[in-house]
Amino acid sequence: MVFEAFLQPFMQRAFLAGLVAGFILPFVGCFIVPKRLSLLGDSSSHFVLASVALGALFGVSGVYLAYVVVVVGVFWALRLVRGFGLSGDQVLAILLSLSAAVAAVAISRGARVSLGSVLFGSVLAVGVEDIVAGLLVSVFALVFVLHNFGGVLLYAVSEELARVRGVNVGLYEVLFALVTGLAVAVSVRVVGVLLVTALIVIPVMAGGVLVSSMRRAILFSVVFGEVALFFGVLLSYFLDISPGAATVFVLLGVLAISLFLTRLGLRL
Amino acid sequence: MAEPVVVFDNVSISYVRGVEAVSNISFRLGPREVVFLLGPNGGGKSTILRAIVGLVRPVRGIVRVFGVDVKSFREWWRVGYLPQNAATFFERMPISVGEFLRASRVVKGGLSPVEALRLVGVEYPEGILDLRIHDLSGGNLQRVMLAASLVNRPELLLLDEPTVFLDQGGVAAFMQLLERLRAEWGLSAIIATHDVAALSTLASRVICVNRGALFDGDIGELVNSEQLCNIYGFHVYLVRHGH
Repeated sequence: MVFEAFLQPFMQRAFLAGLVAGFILPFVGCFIVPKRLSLLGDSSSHFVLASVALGALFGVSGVYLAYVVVVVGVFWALRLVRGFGLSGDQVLAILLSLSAAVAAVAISRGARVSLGSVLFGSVLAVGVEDIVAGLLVSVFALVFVLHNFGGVLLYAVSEELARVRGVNVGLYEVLFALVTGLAVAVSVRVVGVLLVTALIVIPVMAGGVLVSSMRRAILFSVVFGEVALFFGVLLSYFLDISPGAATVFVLLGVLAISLFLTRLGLRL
Repeated sequence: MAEPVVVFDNVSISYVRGVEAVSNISFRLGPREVVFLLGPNGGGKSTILRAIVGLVRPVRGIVRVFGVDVKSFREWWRVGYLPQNAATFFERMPISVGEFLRASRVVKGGLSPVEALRLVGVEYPEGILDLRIHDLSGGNLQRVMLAASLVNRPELLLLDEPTVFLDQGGVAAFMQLLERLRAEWGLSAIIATHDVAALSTLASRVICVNRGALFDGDIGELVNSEQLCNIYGFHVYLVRHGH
C-alpha cells in the first residue's frame, strides 16, 4: 500500500521536490537563523504569492516571475537592513506586508489564483522545472559553502568581522540573496507560502540545540528537513492533507525529541 | 624613517548629520609601537578602531593603513581586530572554537587553532576546540577572540576593550603577551580601554579622546590627576607598579 504512493508520477515529482526542498531550505536556514533573519522565509514566500497573483492578472508565467522577484526582493531586504541600520524583523515585516498587499490587490482585480495550493502547498502543483531549478541551486550552494566554509561562517557570525578578515561581503550578499530567493521559490509549490519558514527555522533549531559545531548543525538540519518532507509528502497522500501542513507536524515532533535529548544533556 | 603603520590625519567621523563622534583627530602609529586609547563611554575610542578597519568612513580627513588609504586597503590578514562585545555574535549559534579559529585563519603561514589558543594562555587548548563558543566563560571567550585576532600573525593589532572579563592575572599575562609579540613579530597595536589599571603595567604612549584628542603622549606624563580629571570629569589616580 505504501509503495502505491511511489508509483504515481505526480507523487514521484512531489518526493523529488521534497528531497530538494528538504535539503536547500534547512541548508540556507543554517545561515539565515544566526543572522536573525528568520522572517526572510516568510517575506520571500510572500514575494512568490505576489508574483503568482500578478502573473495571473497579466497572463504571464508567475513561476519565472517569482524567481526574479524573490531574488531581487531578498537582495534589497538585506541592503535595507545593512544600509539603513534597521532591524531585520522590521524590514522583513514591511516587505511581507507589501507583498501580501500586492497579492490582495491583484486578486481583487480579477487574478485567478488557487489560494489553497499556493498558501499550503500541493503535491499536484510540482513541476519538473521546479525540481531541476532546485537541484541546480542546491548543488551550487553546497559547492560554494564547501569551498568557502570559513568565509561563509564569518559572514553568518558577523558581517563586520567577515569584512575585516578580507571576506568580500558584497559578493556574499548577492549570492546569499540568489540562493535563498531561489530556494524559497522552488520550494513553495510543495510546502506552500505560509509554511516555508517552518522548513527554514525548525530543522535548524532542532539540529542546533543538539550540536556544538556549524558543520554538524548543517548535517543534522538537512537530515531533519529530508525526514520531515519525506514523511510530510507521504502523509499528505494517505491522509489527503496539504504536504506543507503534514511536514510541519513531523518537524515539530523532531524538534520536541531534540529538545528532550538536550534536556537530558546530550550534545554532539 | 620607517613608514607609519597607521596615519589618522585630521579625521572627523559622524554617525548622525551634525553630530561628530570623532572630531579632527590626528595621530601616527609607528612600527612596533603600542598605543592605548583612553576615554569615557561615547568618547570615540571604538569609532577610531572601526575607522582603521574601514567599517566607518570619515566625513573629513584620511585614514591610512600601511601607507594605503583604508578605502583601497585589501591586505586585511596583516591586521588583527578584536571588536567590542564580541560575545553577542555567538548567541545561540552552534559554532565551535576550532571552527571559528580555522575560519579566521586566511593565510597559509597562520597559526593553528591550538597554537593560537596556547599563545593567549589557554592551558589545555585541545580541551576547548570542540566546545561551542557560546558555552565558554567570559574570560575564555575573550581569549578565543584574542586568539582569532592573532591567528594570521598580524603586523597591526586593534583591540577594543580586550581586558573585559579577564581577571588580574589574565590582564598581566595579556600585557606580557603584547610585549613579547612586539619583540618577536614586530607587532604594532592600538588598544582601546577603560582599564586604567591595566595601563599602569605597561609603559607606553597614551592617546586620550573624548570626541577630540585631549592628550597624546607618554603615560608618565599622564600620571597627573588633573589631566585625567579633564578626561573623565572626576579625579582618577593612576598608581604605577613596576615589574
